[in-house]
Amino acid sequence: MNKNGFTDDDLTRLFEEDSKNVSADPGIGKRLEHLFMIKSASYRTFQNSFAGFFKWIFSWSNVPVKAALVSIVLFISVMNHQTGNHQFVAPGCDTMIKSDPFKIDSANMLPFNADTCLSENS
Amino acid sequence: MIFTQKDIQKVTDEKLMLRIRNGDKMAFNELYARYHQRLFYYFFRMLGSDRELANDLLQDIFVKIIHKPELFNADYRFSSWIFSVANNMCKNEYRRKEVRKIISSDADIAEISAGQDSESDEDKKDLITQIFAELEQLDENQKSILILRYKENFSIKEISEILELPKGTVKSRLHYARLELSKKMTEKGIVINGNHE
Repeated sequence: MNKNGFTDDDLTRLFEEDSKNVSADPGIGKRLEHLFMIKSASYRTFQNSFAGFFKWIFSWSNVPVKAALVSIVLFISVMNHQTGNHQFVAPGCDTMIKSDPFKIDSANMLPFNADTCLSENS
Repeated sequence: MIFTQKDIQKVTDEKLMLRIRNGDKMAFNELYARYHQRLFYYFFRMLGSDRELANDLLQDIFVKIIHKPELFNADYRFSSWIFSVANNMCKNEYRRKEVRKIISSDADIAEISAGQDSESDEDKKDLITQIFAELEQLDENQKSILILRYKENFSIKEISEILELPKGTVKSRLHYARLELSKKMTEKGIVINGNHE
C-alpha cells in the first residue's frame, strides 16, 4: 500500500492469498453429479425418439417449407405416373415377355438316349 | 464421438455448455472443476463470509445449469454470464435478508507497523484476515467490483456486462472501492510494508 492506497498488484496478491484458505464443500460435486445423471437420462430417451420430428411435421411452424416438400413429392409422383405408357406393346423378341422359358437347365431335360442305363433298347 | 479427459480440458466453456445440453456428464464435471472454487469464493466474500450460505448458493447455481442449460446465451462468454448469475443471486440474498456480517475482529485488530517483518507466514495471515474483515464492511457493489477485478481478473468491459453498469461507473466505483478500503485500513492503523510493491 502506498500513500494513495492499494496498488493493483497488492490487491491481486491479497485476493490470491485469501482464496487459498477458502474451499467449497466437496460433497456438493458428488450431489450435483448424481443429479446430472438423473437429468441426462431423460435427455437421451427424448433424443432417441421421433417425437421431435413428428411434432414438427404436425405443427404450424415452417408451413412454406412443408408445402414446398409436399409439392416436390407430388410433382415427382405425377411425372413418374405419366412416363408409364401402357399402350406400348413390347416386341415379341423381348425375352422378358416370353412365356415359354428356354430349356437350358439340364435338370428339366429328358435323358439322352445314349444313356445305357435308361435306354429302352437295352 | 468419444472424448477423453485430456481432450475435454481443451474444450472452451461455451462448447462445454452445448454438450451439457445434450447430457454429457464429462462436460459437466469439467465445467464444475473449472468454476466451483471461483464461484464459491465469490459467494463466500459477497455474503459476509458465510460458508454454509456460500455452499448453498454454489449448489443452486449448478442446479440451474443442470435444469436449464438453455438459459445460457452463446453470444456471451460463459465466465461473464455465470458471474452475472452469481451476482444476481447475491442481490436476491441481500434482499431476502439482511446479511449479518460476522466480524469479531474489531476489538483485537493488531497494528502491523512498517518496522515489523510482515513477510512471515503468521503476520501475512493476520494481515489478510484484517484486510478482508475490512472488505466485509464495504457495500455489495464495491465488494463485487473488487473481487471481479482483482480475484477473477475480469476487464472493465466484462465487469460492466456482469453488473449491467456503464464502463465509466465501473471505473469510478472501482476507484472509490480501493480508496474506501485504504481509508478503512488507515483508520484501523493497518499498514502494509512497502516491499509489497
